[in-house]
Amino acid sequence: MLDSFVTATLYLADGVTLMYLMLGVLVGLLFGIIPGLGGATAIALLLPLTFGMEPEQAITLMGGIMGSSAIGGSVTAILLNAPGTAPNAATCFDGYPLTRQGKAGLAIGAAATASSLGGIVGVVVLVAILPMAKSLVLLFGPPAFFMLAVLGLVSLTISNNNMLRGLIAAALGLFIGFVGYDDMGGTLRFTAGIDYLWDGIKLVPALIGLFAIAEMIRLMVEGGAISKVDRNELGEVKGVGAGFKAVFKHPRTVLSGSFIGTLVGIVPGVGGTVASFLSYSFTVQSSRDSSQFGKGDIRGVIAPEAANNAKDGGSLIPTLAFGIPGSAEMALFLGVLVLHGMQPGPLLLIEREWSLLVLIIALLLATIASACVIAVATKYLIKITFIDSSILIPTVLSVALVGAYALEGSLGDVIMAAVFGVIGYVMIRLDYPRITLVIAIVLGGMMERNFIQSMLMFRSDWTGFFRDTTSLVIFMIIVMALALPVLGRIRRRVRNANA
Amino acid sequence: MPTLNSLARPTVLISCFMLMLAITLLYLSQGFGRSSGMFPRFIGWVFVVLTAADVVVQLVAWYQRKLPASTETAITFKQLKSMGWLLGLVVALSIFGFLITIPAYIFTFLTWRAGHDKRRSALIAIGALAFVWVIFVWLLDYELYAGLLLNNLS
Amino acid sequence: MKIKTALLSAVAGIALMSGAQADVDPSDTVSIVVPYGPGGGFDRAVRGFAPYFSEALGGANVITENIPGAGGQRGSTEVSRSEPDGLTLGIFNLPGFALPAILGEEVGYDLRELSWIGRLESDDYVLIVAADSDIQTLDDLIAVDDLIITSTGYGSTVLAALQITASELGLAEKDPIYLSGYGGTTDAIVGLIRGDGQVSMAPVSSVTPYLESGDVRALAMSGNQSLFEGVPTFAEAGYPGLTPLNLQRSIAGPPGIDDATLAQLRSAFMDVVQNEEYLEYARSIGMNMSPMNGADTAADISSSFEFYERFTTSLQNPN
Repeated sequence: MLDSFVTATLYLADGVTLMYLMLGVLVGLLFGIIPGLGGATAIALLLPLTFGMEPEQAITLMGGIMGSSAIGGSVTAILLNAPGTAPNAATCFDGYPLTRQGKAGLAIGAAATASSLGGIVGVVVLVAILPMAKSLVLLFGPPAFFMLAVLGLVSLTISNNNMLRGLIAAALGLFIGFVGYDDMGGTLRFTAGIDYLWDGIKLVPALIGLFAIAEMIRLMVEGGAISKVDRNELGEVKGVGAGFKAVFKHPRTVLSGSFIGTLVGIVPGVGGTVASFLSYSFTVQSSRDSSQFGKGDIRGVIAPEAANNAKDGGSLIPTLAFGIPGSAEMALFLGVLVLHGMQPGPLLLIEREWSLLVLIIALLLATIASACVIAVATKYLIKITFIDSSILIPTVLSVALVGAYALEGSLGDVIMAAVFGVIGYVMIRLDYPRITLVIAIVLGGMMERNFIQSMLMFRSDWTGFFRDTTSLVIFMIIVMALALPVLGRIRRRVRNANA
Repeated sequence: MPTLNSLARPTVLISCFMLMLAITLLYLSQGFGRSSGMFPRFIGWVFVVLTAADVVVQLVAWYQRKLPASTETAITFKQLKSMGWLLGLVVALSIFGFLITIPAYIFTFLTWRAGHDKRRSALIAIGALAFVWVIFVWLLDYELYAGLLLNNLS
Repeated sequence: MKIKTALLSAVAGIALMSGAQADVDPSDTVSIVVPYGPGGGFDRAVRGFAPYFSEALGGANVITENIPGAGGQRGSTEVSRSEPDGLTLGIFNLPGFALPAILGEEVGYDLRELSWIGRLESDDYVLIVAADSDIQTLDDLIAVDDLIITSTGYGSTVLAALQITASELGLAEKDPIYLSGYGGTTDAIVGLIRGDGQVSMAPVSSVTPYLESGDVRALAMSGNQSLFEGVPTFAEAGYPGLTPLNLQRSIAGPPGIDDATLAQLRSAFMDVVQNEEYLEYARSIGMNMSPMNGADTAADISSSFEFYERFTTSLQNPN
């Protein structure tokens, strides 16, 4: 292990390799910032370019992209309520309110710092558990996946103020997830004969609509600039440094976020979106004073961003050890590996140890480098939020729709983004939580598929869910998540009665 | 900012719409066989119950606080107009393509709706086009949709 | 100096990849459509093939075009409906792209009508169990009464291969449970290792890493010759009906390419697959090369179609 570590470090210290890393970081940041594009698109576009490279150079380039796109995505989430990549959606909930209070610098500084720390924790954990990677992946079968999806939905629904509307949003999200071809039952569902819907409703156009476009409609109705604070009143724009410090004031949030991120990352087939949402709702539930969440609590930025970068380390485990990618990004990275003669599988971890360490160190460096780039650029980026909304609206609408189009070059995605823009606006106005809708769209398919698979495995005996150890453990976490708020309420009532 | 309460009537309408949607989805789910239908039917029933409960809650709230209808419709009209601008953009994009629509849309929006002067609007429109062109066309080499019109001409 | 080269190649690379998105100039650009997104086996096969094909066509620009959607049907339909001028070709998977038609779905193409340029890859299927399974031989498997089979979803080639195998081995009467719905072939193999089910099947290229690591064991494989020591072919084990079962990747254009153009494309294809340099490269990226010329491919497609059509009743969705 140590030998390989030295070899890998020396390899990366080479000038050309570092250039590839920085190229990856810059491309990753750019793709992360523009809503619609993301790490996956960046890898897809650069994949053919790696043809002539050494395998490790290609890995370094891709490591640069993967380590930086999530941080880039947090910038637009915070400034414009438009998550650059899907996992950044959770960052919107508190990052954007902070911007409206004129504290964008604080939010971005915190996001960049939390991302870096999360990335470091993720990589450390990855290195520590690499030897047992295989058995970890094998812990999760269909019953455990089903329970995990239930956990995700439950923990988000109970953290809502308006429980009824939260549940309605979840049900709607599940139905949105049902749209398309169901390859288990071999049925087309809710497609109304439209070819575009065959593959289901894609997450990225939906997110662009629900957040970026919905926000622009809201600005159109309300007017004004994004930041409600006058620039002159604010004086010197500061805050990146404050954001950096804020992260260290909440070490618990950083750590819990990082561990949730890493753990969710390890579970194959569950992407970063789930990681950041779970981390967010865990932080909301476990905080003593949760009244400011959704209104601009800095912990609401730290938690998802730490998880978001930590998951990269974790999600490499199923990708490398078994060749089952956890996200579109990982699927494409898998393609890069195969292209360079590295067949993912149980043997890869042993045979190509040093190449993997190159990747791990590259990821680490990319996270830190991109955080620095963002910290420097923040001063200029913040100015966006003081622009009069009448200028921002048509510009952001146009760019958001180009982003939706660029994803796959499909006009259907543009229309879908607009439709979700209207849905998102109605949801803002009428207090339906968008967070629950998104997570239901993400988890719906996984929940259904794994439930049916489990029932097949158990021959329709549902007690099987409690005979599978992993599934049982997750079930107990669900019970705890449900019981904690109730217990807290009882305790408070008892205390009040005594007083 | 108008509060939720002043939106009572649109709220009831949306709640009723959601109930209708839930019933429709549940109805459609009856047509799916075995494994494909199991989850949609189950969630469908839950959905119908939830939305029905929501309609009751909204109706009770509406009945308790009678509000003048005029403010509601004003807001609704402004909202519809805003969505009209979005619809206009999507329609224009599909007909004229991105590179023509984007500057034209931004220019129209700025001069007509926001009342900026023509020179400033033109500059912003060209700036936005330049941004899109540099990033997507020049750097990333995307072929942006050219619109129904141009596609049919060539 | 080295840095400059690196950056130049980066820029060149960006220009190159952009080609993948666009038709540049129809007069001298051949695009090969991959009906899936970048990064998968099909994409890899075409991207490796394109530069050599370009060379063999006397320097014509050959680009890879990803048209994902509808489980590969969108891209395939687009190829089939394009102008038969030899400038739009596509990569097709057999039996995957034949299955929808065999299962009675309406599809926008007929594989038997396409102008076949040649076959690149052919993968035999391996019937596998987990390493610690009690099942040692085909006979053991046949003796199991409550069988659970891990597989990808309905319409996938793995499920079809499993259903055909079950039917030939006489397992179908025992009404085994098909645990379908795994995201991909590898997911189904991992499910098998975890013990979700007792048996599964996968193409040689997917299963080799797991056979080598000792996580799974092979019971038998299709084809005329076994690639693994101690593993019989189905024919050797007494089930010759399963020998034709395989997974192929072939290149074809729309129906009606004129004879001269087709001949030119076919000969260029043969030049590529006889090029040692290409073959070595293809092997290095894990392709299972099994080249076949255009005319033979066309004939093979028809006989494959008949083979699968025989099993239409066995191929209905189990769930």
